[in-house]
Amino acid sequence: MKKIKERGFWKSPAKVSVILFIVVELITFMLQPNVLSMSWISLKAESAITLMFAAIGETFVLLIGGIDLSIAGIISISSSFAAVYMRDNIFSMILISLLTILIGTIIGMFNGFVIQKFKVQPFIVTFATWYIFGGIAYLVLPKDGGDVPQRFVKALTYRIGGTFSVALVIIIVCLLLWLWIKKTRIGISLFAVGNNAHAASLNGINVMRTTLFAYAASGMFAALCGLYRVAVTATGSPTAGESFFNQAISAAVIGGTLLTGGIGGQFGTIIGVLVFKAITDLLVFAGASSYWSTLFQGALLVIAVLFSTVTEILRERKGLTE
Amino acid sequence: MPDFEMRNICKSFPGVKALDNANFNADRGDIVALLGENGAGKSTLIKVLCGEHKPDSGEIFFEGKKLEIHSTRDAIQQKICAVYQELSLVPELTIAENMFLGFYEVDSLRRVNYQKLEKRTKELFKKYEADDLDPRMKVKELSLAQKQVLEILKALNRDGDIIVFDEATSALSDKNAKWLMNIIRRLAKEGKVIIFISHRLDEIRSLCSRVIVYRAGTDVADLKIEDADSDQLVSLMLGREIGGYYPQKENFVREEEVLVSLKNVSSGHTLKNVNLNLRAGEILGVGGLAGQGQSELFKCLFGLLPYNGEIMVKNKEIRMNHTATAMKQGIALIPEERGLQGAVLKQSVRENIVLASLDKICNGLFLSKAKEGEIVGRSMKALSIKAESPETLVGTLSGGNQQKVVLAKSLAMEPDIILMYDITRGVDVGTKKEMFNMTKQYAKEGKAILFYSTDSEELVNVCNSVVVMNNGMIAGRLDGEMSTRENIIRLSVGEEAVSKEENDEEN
Amino acid sequence: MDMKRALKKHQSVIFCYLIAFLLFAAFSVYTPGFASVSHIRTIFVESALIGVVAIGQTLVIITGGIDLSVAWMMTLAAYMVTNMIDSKPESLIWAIPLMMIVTFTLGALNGFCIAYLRVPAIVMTLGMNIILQGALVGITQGRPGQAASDPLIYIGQKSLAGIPWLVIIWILLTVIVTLMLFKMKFGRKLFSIGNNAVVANYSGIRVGRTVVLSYAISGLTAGLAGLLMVGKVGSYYLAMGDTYQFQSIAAVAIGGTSLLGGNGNYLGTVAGSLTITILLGILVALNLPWGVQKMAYGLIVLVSVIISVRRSQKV
Repeated sequence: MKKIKERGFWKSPAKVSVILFIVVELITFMLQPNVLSMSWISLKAESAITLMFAAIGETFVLLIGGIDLSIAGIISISSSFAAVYMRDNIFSMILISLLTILIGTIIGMFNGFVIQKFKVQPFIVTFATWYIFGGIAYLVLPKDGGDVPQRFVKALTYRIGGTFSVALVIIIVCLLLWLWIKKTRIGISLFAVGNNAHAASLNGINVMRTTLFAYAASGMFAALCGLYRVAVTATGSPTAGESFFNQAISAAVIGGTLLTGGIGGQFGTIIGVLVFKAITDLLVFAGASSYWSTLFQGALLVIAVLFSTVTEILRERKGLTE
Repeated sequence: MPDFEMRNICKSFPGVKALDNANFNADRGDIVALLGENGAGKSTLIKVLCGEHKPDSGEIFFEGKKLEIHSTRDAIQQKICAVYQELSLVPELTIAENMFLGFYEVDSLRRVNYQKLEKRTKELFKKYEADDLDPRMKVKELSLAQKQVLEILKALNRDGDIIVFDEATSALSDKNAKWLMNIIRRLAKEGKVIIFISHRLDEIRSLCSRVIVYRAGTDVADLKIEDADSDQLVSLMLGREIGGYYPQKENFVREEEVLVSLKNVSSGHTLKNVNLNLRAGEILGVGGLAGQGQSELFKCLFGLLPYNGEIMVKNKEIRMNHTATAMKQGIALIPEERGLQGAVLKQSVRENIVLASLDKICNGLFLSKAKEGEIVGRSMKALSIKAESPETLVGTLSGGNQQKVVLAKSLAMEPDIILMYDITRGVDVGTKKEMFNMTKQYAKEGKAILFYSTDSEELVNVCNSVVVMNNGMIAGRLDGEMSTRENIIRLSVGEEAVSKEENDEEN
Repeated sequence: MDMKRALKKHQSVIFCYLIAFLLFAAFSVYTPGFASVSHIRTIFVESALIGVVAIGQTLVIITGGIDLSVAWMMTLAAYMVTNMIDSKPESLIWAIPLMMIVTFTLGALNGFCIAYLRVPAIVMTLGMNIILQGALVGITQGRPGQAASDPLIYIGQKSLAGIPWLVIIWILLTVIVTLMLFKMKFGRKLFSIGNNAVVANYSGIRVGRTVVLSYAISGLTAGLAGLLMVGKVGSYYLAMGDTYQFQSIAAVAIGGTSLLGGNGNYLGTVAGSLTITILLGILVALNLPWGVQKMAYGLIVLVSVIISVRRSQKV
């Protein structure tokens, strides 16, 4: 019996977020009893998907004990790039999409390279590159706009069979992808490097390669986020990414990923995103004016992180005095 | 030509020449002991071999072929494996994941096959007759001894030709230590090259066929174990004859003047009900095997670790909750890790010396250059710190001089009670001698000194009395004649101390 | 010998001033009028604001942290001395001390969460920045700001014997912070914490308290900068502090203070503030887009970090 409790759900870092999710959704249903339907779920998925991309990318980096502020810049670059260069034909749409993702991956890798090569704290490097990438975004697209092909918008906001949104499909794909990656060599390396980088390297794990992978993944998902945002809003923006960093961190931390690395994962993060969105929706529903939404976002970030660090501190204390 | 050879290895770090034309060799089937003091270059040599450090120059040969080792992965793939003293396990991963870390077999979808992994882990436990643990347990839930067993199994699992055991028995019970010895002998019979690092001479004697001694970054002797007697080995390690450099022992203890008194002090699992009195003028040694609570005892006394129980300083109960509290009571600590805890390597000698006594160099709100200069000048002279100027960065000094700066910092506070934690680690012989003389001088001045050392010989020769710790408790106190190396070892392993006469009778 | 050593010790600071001067000189030749007295005065006034924010930023960065909350801390301070009170000058008598207490306390709260509750500095101060932004947006409901009262305008726009009050205040603060860093215990503690917090703790320094104090000072200096800025521009507006978030950090980085902590000098930051203002003037004069400016900030920080890493690896 004890063994079961030690493993499985109760040991999973995502447990708090799952419980939170259930509670928040229950409240929502109580307030609006008739909403539960396929199209409602599809709607939820659509509203969550951009943040989910950003948070998934950020989680990869958090797992190895890093942090990536530059996703804000990368999202802006990809949003601007796609909005400016995409033309209304299938070939261009696919090519530009792939190019955007490629660019995001490469600049993410650049972050990882600088961090690992020069052994600088990730927050300083990505803080600097956040500005660099943000600047580039302005050069690509000086102000909100760009010409987004309608067909691109339609493709990404399409409802299969009228109710099942593309976003929902993508979320499911991401989840499956994670369940796969988690069991591959690189997946285990992420946890090993985040938990104890020195031990990992003594065992022949290539820390540089793992770091590059994490930051490249962060860049790639940031690019996906920017791309999808173009479709959802039907416009590009050089400041598209600005609010994503703190939301992504909040979602990942709510999902049980630790800022110190080595613990967490994408399952928790996806739930974390849903919780984040549900809380914001609840606030709107409760009648909070949109003027206050920024305050809630900031408070949520600080509270989520404090909750996670204080839990760790208490756990450590308990270990000392037991 | 021997099967395995490391030739003329050199490796420098900023300010230190860790390896200076170091050599090592062994044949298949050999169990070779690598012996040396802390800082003699043993661990750097192993790190070079295992690809953690790139040597500045030198070559490594195995069976006539030159090995090119650029990374830890290269080393493992060329069948060089190591059991690391500090353990190379990832706490958040499971036992099975750790056993195959970095070298997983994957299926057609590039996934790690967990079922196979767990099965093979179980087989491994069986093969080496280790305790059967659930392969799906996370390593962080294991005890230190269990982790060390895993660390050993992990290395064995890699099926190396050259296997390094770096202090692999330090956390093992006697039973497990014996288990490991048998495995090592078996491996040697299978024709592996075994490099065995330990500071326990008895272990080396019962296991190894040869011993290579390191001192100051190079090999100084290569002996058959039959030809090497213990005294000779120790003097080779130290580079001098035993004895002679300890100052004449004198007793300055002021019996009535108890400066520090511990009553039932406990902390976590590591320190249990410690009672201790430390008197003015006393040099009280703390001995025992590594990791028996000595470090925690010092930390509690210096306000670095929460504890239960009472600490009395000069007959007043003091709750030590911060280093500043301890220092206010006149307690100074010379910590274990000089570069991590003792001195700010990137700051100057001057800034380091006054760091713990900033109040003393203030005129009102502002620092006084004159007062600072006076303290710094006096300390540098008193401890004969060899630095170009007070502005020299501590990181560029030699190990011995860095340690002197740490001492100077503590002494600038003018403490009454000095906690010395392994102050001679990685320090050259000359400096050691100075430090022992100084310790005696402080005792003469009426200071109380708590003196921990990993070297029981130091304890016997420097301290008035020695308390030996075992499993977080004080196993016994040895005064006067009773304070011998034999008795320290007896108490450390849970036996009774015997007086000299009894000892003679036994022989 | 002493002179030589002093030069060597301060070479990075001297180097900064040299860069600022060269940039200025080069551009003066290129654009007549760049070197006029009034323009020099403008440069100093603009730099003063960056410089005051960068006081706290320098202290925090020396401890190995960073303060991203300065932007909205400034805006909050500006709000508290304008919109929150009526336009009567007498109200400032209580509004200014209150503002100082509030910004100091909020800064201390940053420090507390960072030092004692282990929240990463970047996340904590960014969160604080967003919270302050959200609070101000929520309170003002986006209404336009109110004009600053006369005493603030006087401080922000007038001069004493040809020297703007802003610059006088900046010089005063520079003297104070330099004394704190090099002539007081506080400075010694900061440097040792930034280099090795464990050694500092083993040396009886109360690391947590010192870190909290440095963030509190950062809140306070950002608040002062907000007060000065509202006087200089004449009225309060939302997001008025936004550009100072990065400029203050860039000024510290250019000034030779290592973003890794443990090493630095506010006199360098002064030069950094001047350099940024001059650079900004050049970018504006050349009519370069905002994106280039943003990139320039990022590059400056990235390059300076890599340089300080290289330098510290030598020891």
